[in-house]
Amino acid sequence: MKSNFYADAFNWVEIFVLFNWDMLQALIVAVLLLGLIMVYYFIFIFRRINRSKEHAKFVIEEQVTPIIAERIIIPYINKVDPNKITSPVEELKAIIKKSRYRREEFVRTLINFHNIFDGGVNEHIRQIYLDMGLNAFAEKGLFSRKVKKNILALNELEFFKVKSHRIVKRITQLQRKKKEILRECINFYILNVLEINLDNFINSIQHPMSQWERLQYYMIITNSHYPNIPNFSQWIHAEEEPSKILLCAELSAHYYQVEASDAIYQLLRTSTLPIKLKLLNILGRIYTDDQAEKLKELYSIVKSVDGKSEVLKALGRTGTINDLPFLLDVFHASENGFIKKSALRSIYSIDVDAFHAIQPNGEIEQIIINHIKNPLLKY
Amino acid sequence: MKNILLVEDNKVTVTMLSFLLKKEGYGVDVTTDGEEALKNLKENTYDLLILDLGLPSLRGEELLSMMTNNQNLKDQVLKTMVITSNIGEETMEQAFDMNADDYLVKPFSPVEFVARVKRLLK
Repeated sequence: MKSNFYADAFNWVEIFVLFNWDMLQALIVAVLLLGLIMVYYFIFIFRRINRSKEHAKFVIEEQVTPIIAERIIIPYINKVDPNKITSPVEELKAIIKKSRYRREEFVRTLINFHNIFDGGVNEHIRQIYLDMGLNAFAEKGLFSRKVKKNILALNELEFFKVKSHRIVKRITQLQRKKKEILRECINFYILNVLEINLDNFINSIQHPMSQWERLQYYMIITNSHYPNIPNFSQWIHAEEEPSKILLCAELSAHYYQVEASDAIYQLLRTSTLPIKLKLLNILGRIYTDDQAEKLKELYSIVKSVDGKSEVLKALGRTGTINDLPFLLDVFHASENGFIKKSALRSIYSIDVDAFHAIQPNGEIEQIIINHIKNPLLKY
Repeated sequence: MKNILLVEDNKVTVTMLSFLLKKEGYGVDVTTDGEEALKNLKENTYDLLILDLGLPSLRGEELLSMMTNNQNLKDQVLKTMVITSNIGEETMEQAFDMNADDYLVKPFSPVEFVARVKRLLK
């Protein structure tokens, strides 16, 4: 292997010596020159693109805003009949012409208007988007092979709430793609725009959701006005995916579906600690008559400090003055500062006067009392 | 004519709001960052400062806090309206603690925006 290497190197030196030196020099210079020209060419192209984008941005900002303000916002402020406010489509088309950059910048500007103003103005902004046929370009992006283009198109269609059979057909195909983020965007679109049956939607979730995804679904669902809210406790059982269980438990708490409480208790026996802690936290937001007794029972069963602390916090949210002796016992009897603090905080939540009447046993308890009293210290 | 200083980093928002304010007959100076706003405040007096909290370089909260602590700066502005995308109650409380006269959360109705400005400048 080594001898082969030396033999090859020797051959190269031989070729180098035999080759006309001037030719070699000319070749090197030509390659370098070509490389330099290529670099300058790409710099020129990039600068040209950037300049076009900058110019498009300038044109849209300078010309579009006054038109929208004059033709949409001012009449809206002056309470002109919404049916008489017409989209200035032709004027806007004359500004955008056939430029892709101007079109993209225009869509961004419409989104910006949408973010500044609420109410009826947004419906007019959406109408401009539709009247100008801009959804056709977004739909085209949906059919691209590039995932990035699919996502951008989906976001735009979702933002302007555009729906059609063609889009639904395409997103059904895209749902089979491996890219998680794409499937996530499709789900946001489905929830936000198609307003499908929530039962079907939750049944369709089979993958582990990220915290972000879960939060987004929670916000979309709770901010929408679905005519039929399903009983979310049907998905709170051990066979379901843990993130789906958490989403459904959170939704149960939001819609105050007290029957979820039993399902959560069942699940607490089998789930892992992180899930258990989150479920206990959710439990603290669902009040039932026997909740406090169940929580007290649970306190003796749960082994971990974090678990016990979550039970105490839940008791603080759902408990009554009848539960104060239990919490006071825990506060004095526990040797763990974290548990003491959780018990005391719950006493404070239930009855501030009872909290002030507590006599500390020793320095540590006094510190914890001072800690709870201090509003600047976040619990 | 009443003068307004509009401090907002989003160019589209600035153009739109200043258009609406000019249409109502107000004189409007516009800046897109806090440092520049501070410079404007040192040089001119305004009847109303419309301040977005999420600014680059010098944040809106910092500018408000400087105005609270500096009497000369405070005297340059009669009224202050804070606009923000932050829906948190803490931010609102903080803004009012720092002597903001009004607080508006984006997105807002243009009717409400103009009405609030008019009320402040009455």
